[in-house]
Amino acid sequence: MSWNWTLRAGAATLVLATAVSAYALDAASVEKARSDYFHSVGKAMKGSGDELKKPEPSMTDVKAFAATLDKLAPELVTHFPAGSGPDAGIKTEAKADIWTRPADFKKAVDAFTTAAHAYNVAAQTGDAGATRTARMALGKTCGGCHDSFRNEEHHNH
Amino acid sequence: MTRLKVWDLPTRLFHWGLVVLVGLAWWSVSVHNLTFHRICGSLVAGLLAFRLWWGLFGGSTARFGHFLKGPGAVLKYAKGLIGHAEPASGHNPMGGWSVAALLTLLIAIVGFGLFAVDVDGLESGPFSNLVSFEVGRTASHLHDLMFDGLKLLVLVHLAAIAFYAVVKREGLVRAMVDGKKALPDTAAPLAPARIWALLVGLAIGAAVAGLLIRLSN
Repeated sequence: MSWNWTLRAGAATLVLATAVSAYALDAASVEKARSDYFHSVGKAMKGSGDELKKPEPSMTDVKAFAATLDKLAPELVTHFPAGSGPDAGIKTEAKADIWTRPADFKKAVDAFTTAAHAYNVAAQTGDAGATRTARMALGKTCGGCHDSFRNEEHHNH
Repeated sequence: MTRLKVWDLPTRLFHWGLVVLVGLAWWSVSVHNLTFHRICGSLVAGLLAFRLWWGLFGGSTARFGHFLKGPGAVLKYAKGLIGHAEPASGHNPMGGWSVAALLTLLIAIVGFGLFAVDVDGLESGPFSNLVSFEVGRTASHLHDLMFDGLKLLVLVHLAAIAFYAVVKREGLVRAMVDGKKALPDTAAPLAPARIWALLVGLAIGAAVAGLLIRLSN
């Protein structure tokens, strides 16, 4: 009987451990993809910003960056599945508020998506002045969301 | 003991200007006003450029050669600190190195800030367009890290001032305000700088600050 119980306990532990590690692995890979995603957003923001800072920006480059942002913006929500927050035991800057205040989060994300689209529309016209203004407006939606839903990072690369 | 002149006016203005501007830079970033933050940083850069010049051609007590002493002098001063060391005309051998460390950290902070990029790729230093997003992010982290170091060093600086006020009965703050310090009559007072040195220093500082402000916004 004791052998039987040991076996059962062992099997149960194994199942549990597998489940837990699978779950943890999942959240960690979500975090990795999320971090890569925001990295791409930041790169496109910086790339277009560097260009727009010039007195005579290359609007071809700016158009490409703005199109990238317009394409990336709607993907944002897919990077925040339930269970990928700070409670998942992973190192993340995502605040639990994302999941406890879904309506507010959606509003902030929608503002970003709309502004990214407006940025692309402005860029495609080739008007540098209007594009600069649209980029600042887009930047405000980044900051607006980060203020409420992202923990200020500190020295982690 | 007489109150003798130890700090020239430019050195004092540099000191208090730095206190105000670093404070404003810290505050501006906490309220996400990066435009103002870059102006403060540019002005700090101008002050630092002036100070480096002043360290070579300024009044005697401001010169690096005057206050950067070898380990022997530092050790001797440290031992005398508990006993009856004479008050120093200018930076003492320990304080001199603390000034060097403060200046080095400030230069590093400004230097990294020039290339820093924020997480959104939106706000950035004036030279960030020369580096990739990744390098800009690293510069931003180092900018932060060096500022933590500066805060620590400022605490040490304030603790030292408190120590001198309470234990040694030396009013270092007052000396940095009116430039005078109670010293033995035999002490060497400040040998002021030449006027051309001041004018060149001011021009260098203004050029650096002006250029960075122009490039920043």
